[in-house]
Amino acid sequence: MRISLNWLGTFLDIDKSKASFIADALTNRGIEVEAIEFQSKGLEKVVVGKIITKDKHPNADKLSVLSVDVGKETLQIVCGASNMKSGDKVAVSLVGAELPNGLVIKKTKIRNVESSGMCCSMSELGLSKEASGIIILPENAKVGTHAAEVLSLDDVFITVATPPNRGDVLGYIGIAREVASILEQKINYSVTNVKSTAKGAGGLEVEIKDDHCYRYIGRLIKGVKIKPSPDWMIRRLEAAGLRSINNIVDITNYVMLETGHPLHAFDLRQISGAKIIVRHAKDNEKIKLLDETEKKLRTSDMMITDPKKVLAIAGVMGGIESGISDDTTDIIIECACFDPSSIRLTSKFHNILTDSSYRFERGVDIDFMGQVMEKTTALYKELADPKEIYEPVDVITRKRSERVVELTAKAATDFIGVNITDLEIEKLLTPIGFHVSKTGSTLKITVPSFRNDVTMKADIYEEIARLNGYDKIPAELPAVVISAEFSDGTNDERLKNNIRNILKGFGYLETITYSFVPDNYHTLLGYSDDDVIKLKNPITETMKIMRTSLVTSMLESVKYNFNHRNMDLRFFEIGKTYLSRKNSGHIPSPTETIANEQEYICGICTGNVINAADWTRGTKPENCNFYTVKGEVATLLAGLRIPSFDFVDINPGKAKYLHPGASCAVKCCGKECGYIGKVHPDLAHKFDLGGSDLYIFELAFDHLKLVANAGLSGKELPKFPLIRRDLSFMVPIEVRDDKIRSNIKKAGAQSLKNYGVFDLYNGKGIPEGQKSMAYYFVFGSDERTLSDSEVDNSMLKIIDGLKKEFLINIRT
Amino acid sequence: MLDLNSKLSSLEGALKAELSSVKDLKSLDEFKIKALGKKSELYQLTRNIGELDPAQRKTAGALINKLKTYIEQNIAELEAGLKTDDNKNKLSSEVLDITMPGRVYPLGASHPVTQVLNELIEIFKPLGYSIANGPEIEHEYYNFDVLNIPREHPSRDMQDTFYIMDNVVLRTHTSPVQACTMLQHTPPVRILSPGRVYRSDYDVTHTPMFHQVEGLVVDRGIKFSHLKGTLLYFAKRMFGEKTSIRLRPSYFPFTEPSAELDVTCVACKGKGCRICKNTGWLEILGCGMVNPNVFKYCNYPDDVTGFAFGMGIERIAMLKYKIGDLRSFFEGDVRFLRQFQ
Repeated sequence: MRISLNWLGTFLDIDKSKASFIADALTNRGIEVEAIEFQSKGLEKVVVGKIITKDKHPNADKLSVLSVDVGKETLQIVCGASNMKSGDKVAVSLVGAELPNGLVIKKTKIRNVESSGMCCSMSELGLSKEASGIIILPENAKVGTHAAEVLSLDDVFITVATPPNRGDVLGYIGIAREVASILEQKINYSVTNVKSTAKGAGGLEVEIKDDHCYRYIGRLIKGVKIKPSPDWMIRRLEAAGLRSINNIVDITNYVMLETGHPLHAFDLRQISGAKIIVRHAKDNEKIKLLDETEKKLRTSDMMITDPKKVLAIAGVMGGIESGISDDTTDIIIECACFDPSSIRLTSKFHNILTDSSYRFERGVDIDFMGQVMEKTTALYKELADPKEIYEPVDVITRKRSERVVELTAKAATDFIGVNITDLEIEKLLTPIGFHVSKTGSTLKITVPSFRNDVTMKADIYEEIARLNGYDKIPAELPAVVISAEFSDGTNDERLKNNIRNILKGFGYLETITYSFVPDNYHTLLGYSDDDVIKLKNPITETMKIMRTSLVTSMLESVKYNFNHRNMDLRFFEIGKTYLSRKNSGHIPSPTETIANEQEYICGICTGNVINAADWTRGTKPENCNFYTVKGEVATLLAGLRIPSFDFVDINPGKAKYLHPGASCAVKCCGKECGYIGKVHPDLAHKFDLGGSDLYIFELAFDHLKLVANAGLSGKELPKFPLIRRDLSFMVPIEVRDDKIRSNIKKAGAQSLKNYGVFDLYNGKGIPEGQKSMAYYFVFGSDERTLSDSEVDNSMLKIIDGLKKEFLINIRT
Repeated sequence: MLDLNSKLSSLEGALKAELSSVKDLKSLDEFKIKALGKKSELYQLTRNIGELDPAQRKTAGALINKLKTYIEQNIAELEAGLKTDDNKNKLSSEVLDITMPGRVYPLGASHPVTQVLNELIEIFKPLGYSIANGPEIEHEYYNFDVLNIPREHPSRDMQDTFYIMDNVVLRTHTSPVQACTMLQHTPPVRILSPGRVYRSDYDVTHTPMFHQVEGLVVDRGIKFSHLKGTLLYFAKRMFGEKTSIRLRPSYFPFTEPSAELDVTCVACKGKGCRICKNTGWLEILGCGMVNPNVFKYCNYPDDVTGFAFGMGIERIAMLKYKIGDLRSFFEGDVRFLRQFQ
């Protein structure tokens, strides 16, 4: 809400030069001031001038050439307006002025005639949106003085953001109350009852059939004259961002801004039998609103009606038919109090947010309504020349019960942490309308009717704390309490950091991508629409579905990087995937788990894995491949202290996003928990990445965390030397390493400690269909140094075993 | 005896001749083995002493030893010379251009959000906080109702919410984790709940997904001043010892009283600059004393009190690492990520 300090100054004594002090104090009390604007800003070089001569422009029919006395000198000014004559006083922007609309005045030539300044219109001074002609100032304005003073453009505006619980500060009175307590003043606001000119209600009847309407005051005023509002009112409305319509409508808005209480005016002609009924809407009832939209109503919507039809959506917006028009003469003024929740639900459902619904949602002061009606009536009497003012009709269905909160100063002290006495509490609360009385050590605090937000002790503690100042609260640390109970998350975080640190060592960069993806990604990965979780209100096309896998996110990031010419990539993400639990659309109860959220580690790499410019390795790049990634994953799993892991064939039908000939599954402690492989060319093409070799791995964090961090135990080092032998042989190309290894194991060679492949060659010199492999074997004993012949025997056993199973050809 | 004497003198001549042809340390090592090792003539002679007359043994031993010592001395002299030469050689031939770069391994990096989160965990761990996690797809009930944000209250509008179903949302904050923790554990509670949160807002300063960390402390005797002390400790550890804090009253439905925390501007140290809009302060987080209505929902006894605070991790990261554009956190540009090694 944008507050004019001139208007606010009618309720208390305000020194506008202290605007920023007031603004800071409001902010420190929880009513945040977002902006301070000085109306005279930009008008420092706008002065009163007197037109001495007015001549036609020699080269343009519509322009005039003026000579204007601005006190120190006489200026020649070219002017496009026609509403001035010589002798008029005008507002002149001197050369160098920077007006509120951003216009900078320079010495210039207009159609070959020099012009040193500008005669201003209302809009150029930031006064009004429309401008017809330049401003003609009063005769008595003194030449050379600031035009802003003459026009009383001395206002200061502060824009406040009010918290959603403080309905009471959505009007000037509420702000005035807070400011008054800051400045240690009392607000000056009194409303005197307007004398009715006619007896009775003039036939007006009010009936409340919906108990969400707590109180309704209606008043009939006859013979009003529709005309424009006076300038001062228009200015005040415009300062708050409201457009002036006519005196009848403007008065309702003006009183709403002043008191915070929304009002509405109906045209009596449109109300059958002069009877207002507040009721629920009927099924399929419709209304055309003031903004000319038509709404189909629900039975839970509260309506203002007459015996025949709906007139308005209660507290939200009036209907166009019963609104004020140019020929309206008799009006019904409505001042009502509605249940905030009911107004909110209706406003939300129909998506209509108005100044009225905004205030009703936040709560109005039911006890103040009589005065609001009197204030409104007084303005109609003053500005609309009514013939008859009838007595108001006041129907109350629910009386406000007085709210009293009991507490002690000690409890407040204990809660806030700052020493507070009974007297201080009274001194803080009384100026903002609370009443404090004392019985023994207990304080009875009566909450004023306008503070709907204060209902319990904590609310009073807040009032005390904020009025006393948060800066007075000491900073102290509570005693440390260590609880062993909640350690799951802490351990998870530690494990994730281990993963990050290991991957970091391989050069992987951690990335974080959005959890939502476009609505076709899951189908690319073989998921159906039933598997996924869809957003009801996605913000863009690319963020419609909760991702079922991190794989597509990684591919998207690769694409983004390729587009930015980053070609050698290694990055990973630790994040969740989301799958529907297929609860067939029924609304889950709070105890049900809604989705399967599983955490994965997913990494991708492509291109050179080493520093591209490394003279120590020569100029040949080392591109990543299946084995580099597999080795990195193996190192990662070892580093996480997973006691056993293995890489096996992928079960048919699984991980279809991978190249079937260049991928494997990862088993940790016997359970499959991830995949490694080359991205399937099909999928790569779908992301326009078909030209690149992309290697990816994904691991289920939820499984890793169950098996990681196996205990460590140190073993004694071997006392006797180990002996290594190598064996190189040719085998048919289809014989896999795992077969050879299990064969070696089966041979049961004595003292064999360790073995594995260390070379693979199938280039020049190797027959078609064959490959050359080299294995190492390490022998050792805990009891003695092995003799050569013992090792020779073991090797023979191994060679025999291999020869029995494969067509192998030992190379020497 | 004569026999031994002539043997020794011819051996001495042969060894001396051979030694004179030794030019490097490697052949010197070979010579040592040949002259003094177990297969050497000298060693054989020593072993054969036992076969002599007892009367001659002593003299023979002395003679052999004399030769042995003589050879050893010669070897030592030669060795010293050769080592000096060798060192000189090495020092002159092994001169490198040490300005050439070494072999640098590509080092990865944790995401800046992770780094800030880790820092937060390190800051709060010594105060006894542990980490609690929860689902991101959440019941409206835990995301709002339990936290004193009923559907019919305007405070719901404070967050733009993504809906999955009528009563299922993407959590708009990590506060549901706090509620669920309280529903499962009796006080005292001291937790940090980090994680992804979602709001349907997308512009230069808002992304529809971001990260939050919330802290919750519940016990008997927890005061507003404890919240202030905790936040002062946090601000000093996170932004430097000279950082000051300022609490401003605010409104959050799940806390009462509520406050926003400002810290001394990290860029200008409080002097006033573009980043802090000349105020010298930066808004960092929202906090307050847990609203008694939240305790009611969680079936907590009414003599407990507590405080909670919540902050956006990206916001902290942007301030700490001088990152201008929030969206860069989620674009995955490796040039951006590599800056945080």
